[in-house]
Amino acid sequence: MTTQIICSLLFLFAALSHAQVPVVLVLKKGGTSEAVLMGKTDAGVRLQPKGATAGEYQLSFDQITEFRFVYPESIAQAQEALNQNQHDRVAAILKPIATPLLPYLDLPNNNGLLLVMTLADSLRRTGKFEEALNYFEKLRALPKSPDSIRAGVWAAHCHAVLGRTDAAWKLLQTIDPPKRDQELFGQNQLVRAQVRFAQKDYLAALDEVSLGIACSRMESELFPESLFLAGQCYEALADTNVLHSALQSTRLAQATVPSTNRVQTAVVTNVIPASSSATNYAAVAQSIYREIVTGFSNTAWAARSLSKLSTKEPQP
Amino acid sequence: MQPFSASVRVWSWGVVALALAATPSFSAGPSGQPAETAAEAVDLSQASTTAMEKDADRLVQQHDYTKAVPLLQELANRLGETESPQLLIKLERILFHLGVGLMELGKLDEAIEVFTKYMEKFASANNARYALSLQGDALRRLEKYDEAAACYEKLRTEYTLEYQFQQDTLTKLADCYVIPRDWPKALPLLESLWKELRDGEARAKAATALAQGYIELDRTEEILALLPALQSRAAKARYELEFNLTLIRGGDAMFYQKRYPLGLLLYQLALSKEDLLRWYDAREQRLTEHRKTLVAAREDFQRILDVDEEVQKLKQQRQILKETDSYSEELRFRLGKTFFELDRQWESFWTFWTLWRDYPKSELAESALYAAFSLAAELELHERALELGYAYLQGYEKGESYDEVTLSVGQIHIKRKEFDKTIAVYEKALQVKPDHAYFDQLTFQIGYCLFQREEFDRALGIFTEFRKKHPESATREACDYWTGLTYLFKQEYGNALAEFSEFVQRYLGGDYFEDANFRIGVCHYGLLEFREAREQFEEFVRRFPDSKLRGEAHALLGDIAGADGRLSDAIAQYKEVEKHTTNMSQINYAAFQIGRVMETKGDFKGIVEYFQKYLKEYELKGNYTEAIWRIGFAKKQLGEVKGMLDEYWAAIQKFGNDPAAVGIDLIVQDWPAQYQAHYGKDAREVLQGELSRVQGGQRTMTLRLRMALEKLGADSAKGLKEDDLPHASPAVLIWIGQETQAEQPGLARKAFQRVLDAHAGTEWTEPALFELAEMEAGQKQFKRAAELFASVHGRFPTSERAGMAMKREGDMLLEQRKFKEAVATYEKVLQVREWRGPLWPESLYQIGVCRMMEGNIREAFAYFQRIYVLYQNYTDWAARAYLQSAVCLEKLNLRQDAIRTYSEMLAVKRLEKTPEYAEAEKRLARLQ
Repeated sequence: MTTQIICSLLFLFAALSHAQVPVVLVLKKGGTSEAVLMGKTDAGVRLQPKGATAGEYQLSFDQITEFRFVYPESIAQAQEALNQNQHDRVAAILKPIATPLLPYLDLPNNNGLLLVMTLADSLRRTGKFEEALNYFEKLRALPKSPDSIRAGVWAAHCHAVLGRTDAAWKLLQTIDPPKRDQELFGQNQLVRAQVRFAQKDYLAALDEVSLGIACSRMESELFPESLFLAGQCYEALADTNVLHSALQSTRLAQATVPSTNRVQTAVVTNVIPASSSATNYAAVAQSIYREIVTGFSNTAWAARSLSKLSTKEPQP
Repeated sequence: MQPFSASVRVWSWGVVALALAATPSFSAGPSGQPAETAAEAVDLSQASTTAMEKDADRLVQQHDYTKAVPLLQELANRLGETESPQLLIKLERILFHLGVGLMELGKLDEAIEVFTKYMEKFASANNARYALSLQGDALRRLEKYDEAAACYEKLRTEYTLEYQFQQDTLTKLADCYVIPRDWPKALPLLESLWKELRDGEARAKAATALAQGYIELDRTEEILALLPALQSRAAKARYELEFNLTLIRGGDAMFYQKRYPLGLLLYQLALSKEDLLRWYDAREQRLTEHRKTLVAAREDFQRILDVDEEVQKLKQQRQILKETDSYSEELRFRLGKTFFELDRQWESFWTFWTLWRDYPKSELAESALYAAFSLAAELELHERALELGYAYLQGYEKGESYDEVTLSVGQIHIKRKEFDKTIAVYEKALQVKPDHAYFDQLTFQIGYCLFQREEFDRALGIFTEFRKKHPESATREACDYWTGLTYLFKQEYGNALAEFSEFVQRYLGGDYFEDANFRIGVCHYGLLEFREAREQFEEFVRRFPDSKLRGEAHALLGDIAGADGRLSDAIAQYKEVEKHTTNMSQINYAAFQIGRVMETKGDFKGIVEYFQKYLKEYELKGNYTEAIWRIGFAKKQLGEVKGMLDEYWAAIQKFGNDPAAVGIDLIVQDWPAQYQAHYGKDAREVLQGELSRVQGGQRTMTLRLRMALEKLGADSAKGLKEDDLPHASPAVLIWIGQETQAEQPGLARKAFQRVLDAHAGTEWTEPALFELAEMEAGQKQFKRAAELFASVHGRFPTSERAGMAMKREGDMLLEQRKFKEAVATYEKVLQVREWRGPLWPESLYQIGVCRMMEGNIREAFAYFQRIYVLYQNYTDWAARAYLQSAVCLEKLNLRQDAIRTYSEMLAVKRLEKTPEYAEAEKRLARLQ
């Protein structure tokens, strides 16, 4: 917890102190102008001519159509690392570049957002959820856009992974739910399911994550994780017998009779057959784990699934 | 099917161009030539060879093959027959570039001819391997795969190729086998490429082709090794329609072989039509941007051509795809089915649900909706199931599954005890579809729902009609049983007995057989035929020793023994109950019956012992405080008043803070008087002391003590608030309600309501209902009040308040001037012997009032007269009746009769203190 607070404070300090950032301004009147961004006000930005050490001037937002932050050459190495899935390296390269941009992410039409999102994503992929969360939160706070929504869902994901399910749930409530045909939908469903699972509401968790699975492509990054959670849900249901009991009560649904008789009557025939009551949910969970091991062998979820596979179960 | 390697770049052209430029004899030519070039000459035959060579070289360097090709053709003709070594060198270059140019111009047949000629003459030349490769390419483009394959085979066997060239050749060769589906030849090549290739895109292509081959040769498991490449979004080959259709076909094959996990995998890999179209659009946009960049950077012309070729191919594919019927719904449906077969019902549900939502006009929408509905019902997702079920009924009245859906929707409502909704669904279904497949079940269940709504006559009507019309239906058995049960609940025990007796004759076993045997005993019991009832229950116990009704049978045998005065037998039977059931209400019933029988026998010591054992056995599961109360009562009877008081006080202290320990409410009610009588001391001191001890901590106990003190005259009711309600026991809630009714009606209402919500099974339900009804009546909320009063006499028909509730219903009708209904209600009071007492004269009096207000004075007079004749002991009602009867006579203008009645009334000493007596005196004086 202390680490988390210190981390957040340092981040806040870095984020609030306006750094000097080289920038190319695309001007409304036409042409571009290179300068150093010194700070911003409500109406515009404070700039210094490129190469100068003094002589600050201001430009209002209505004079500028686009802000292009100038990145150092090391950005190419980050791209290379990204192509090779070396997310630790990506994060190490991008952090010093992205951090000074944080106060300026709300500037109209700036190219910093993608960079910060990439950094946050790399941190998340390397398991640095707390640190990633700081960046996602910053992006989430920006005016509503597909990116801010995406950052919000990822922030909720980080909270959920860190065991702060209440915070994750609260955050999800503030986000416009993605539509089913958006890639973010499956991710949003996964986070919702993670929260439900942590609350031990396995039926609700399974319901949420199943919807996500049904609406996602198998190539999406979180698909194996969603499958794994579905497997856990089926497993939990088999363990707690919740589902079985629920269905059993359906099958045996007895018609109670009016209050004047203290004895229950015989069953009403032809009530809906609950064929699923015979389902072996432990076996379903095993089949999902097997699916992850065979279909997503190069993911961390395959290793976790492998450890879940019962030795008695026939291997594919 | 699109050529597997059609987009593989002809990487060698750049090399070829250099080779041409490096040929000195080709670029050399006479300097300072006239302005007209050979290319511009109208008749090439007139141009000099040297000029043509020069022009051709320049044009080739400029990639201007349109102009270069005629020159190259003319040069090839001129030098075609040469045998000069120097000219042969030139001819080799000329033929090569001519072939390239013809290919560039799309003249593939001519290009092939030129390359063939080239290979005949120059098979050992440096450019021969490129020429052979290009010849293969041209043949491949013309879909002459056998000939193209021969070129590539020759190339890889007879020439030494660089690594990349070798891989490209193999790729193209594989392409020649993949397209005509010559898998035995294609697969070894593809497997080799899959192992050797380093380029991600090329590997993905190989993987895609391999996957197709494996599927078609039923070697589907081998796809698993290719998954990482197949899942890569970068693989362009994944977006080819044919590949995705192959995946679906493979999935189908796996599905029908019941190899569901593999089937699921293939279906999941397949991209839908929409996915492909989206990708084509995005890809084309990217390529268009890329082309612009290439042009701006004056990149190699071949790279631009490659882009153009890919764009062209994309457009063709998109066109084909657009013209193809959408298979996306089929894919989604297959996924849903496969999830279902894998028992993954949630994923299956959502897959079908999304199919229905995303493709509502699809032919599969109906089936998907039905599947989603069925799964929701099976998974107990009732709200969802109903929503989907009604959507189906609304959208597909003529649908294939209409019958199943209507049946199931009604059954879900039955489970939710929404019987009226079941009736509505089934009646509508039978109206929409008179030949409904489940006609018999629907009809029977309408009857069943009417039974549940206690509309017994209507239920019987349905059952009777059904049996008449469908005597052979499979539902007949259920219908027979429920007919008997309906008679039983109508308390028509004779009819019920006849039905159940016939039932056990007609059937040998089944769901209802055991139950019907039990009911026969109940019918005899209801007919007060205790001997037959006893025989039936004893036979039942012998015949169905493991029946869940056995405990109940023993309880009834106990009741019969009690009625026969066989008290020891009664106790023995009651004691059997707990051995055959775990149902606490049955156990409690038997236990407290034992207490009553023992009380009748005067076996108070036995009561003490029995309930102490009961407490030990069931602890808090049983009615422990009531058992304590019984023990205390028995001890008192044994003269152990101190023992009783100690027992009670210990119970108060131990369980007094538990609002569910309702026996404490009885004890708290009983203890103060017993304490004062035994010790001669004021109980308030002890209660106050205890209150001081627990106040601030034990809220339930505090409230109970305050109630007890209030009832002893202390002013303890002040400050009651809503916050107290969750802590209050049922007796305390009633007390709070009564205390606050005048000042805080909202709080009172909540207190009474909480008894109904939180303590529904206790004896305080009845006063709560009654008090609430009175409050509603006070607010002139007659409908709600009538419902509540009806609950009182419906649920507690033999209680004291039941008659009062019925009479109050009459009062409200009178207040609304609904005289006929009011009279009918009062008459119901007069029909119940258990309600005799002041209620009867009061009801008679009220009927008289109704008649009077209707203007029917003579009839009113008769009712009033009946009261003071038959109910003289009820002074108040006799006085009122006397007065009103005399008033009636006055209204009838019978002065003497009125005087006589007033005089008669005033002669009854007992009436002297009533207000009516003084009124009668005044009226009599006025008349005289």
